[in-house]
Amino acid sequence: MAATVQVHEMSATSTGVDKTSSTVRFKSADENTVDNNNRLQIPGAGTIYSYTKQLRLNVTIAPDTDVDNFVVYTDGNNGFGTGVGIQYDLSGSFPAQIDTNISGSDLFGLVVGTPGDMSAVNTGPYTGTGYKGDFIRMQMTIASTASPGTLTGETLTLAYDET
Amino acid sequence: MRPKMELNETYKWQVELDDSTVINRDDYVKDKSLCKNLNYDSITKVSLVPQVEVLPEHTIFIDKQKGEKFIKGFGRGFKKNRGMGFKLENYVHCIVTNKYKFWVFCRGSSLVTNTDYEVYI
Repeated sequence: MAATVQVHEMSATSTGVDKTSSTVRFKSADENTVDNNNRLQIPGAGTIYSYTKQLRLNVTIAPDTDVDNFVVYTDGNNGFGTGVGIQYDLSGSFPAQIDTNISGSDLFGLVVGTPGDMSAVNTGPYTGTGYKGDFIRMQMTIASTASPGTLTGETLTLAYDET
Repeated sequence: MRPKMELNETYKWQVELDDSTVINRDDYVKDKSLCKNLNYDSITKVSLVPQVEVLPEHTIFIDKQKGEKFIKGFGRGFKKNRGMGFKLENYVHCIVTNKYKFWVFCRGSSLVTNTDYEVYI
């Protein structure tokens, strides 16, 4: 049992980057650079949407036998404040990144008791190396009621089983 | 200087069969046919052997007289991003029998649960 599993962030294409050293930052541009450029602007009315972000698991060192049971969850508490949310959906293939409403579900509804299944479409068990499982697509929503400023990050957990 | 050990490497599994044969994870990695036709009913003891000196060894004995059977073993990794990237923050090993699940955390503690219980951190 010694697989190395990375979490990759996709932008623009389905080939992602290993997110071992920085946060996933929602922006008004389709990129994964963590900086203060392309910040999301609070609208005067209604809601605006960030460019989508997609995460997928990538096995870089194969398990002794296989990996399986990929799930994703939060702590259930949205600490971003009024008017700021994150919606998500899960899929088995890479949809193009967009900055229009994906009409997803509340990411903070994914908790330990009801996690998101990232092995639902591209089912396991998985052997060898490479991208495995499904994609979680996320999008930040900003309503006119939001307050300006830098948000404190929230914790996202991706778990996997290996034998 | 000793290289840093990943959390999923702090323990390695080992099983003993009813004919006293011992198979461990390193044996399996070298020759995966060892477990291919293994009769799990022949397993009498399952150990998680620490690879770090300060951690305790955990061993369960399969009580066949009470109808206990080894089902499987697996590890569960938890990658968390708290703003500094996704890190393997925790790892738990699980020995599953038909009577209970025995969980061993990468830092040495353990937990026994019902078979339908799951551990997510």
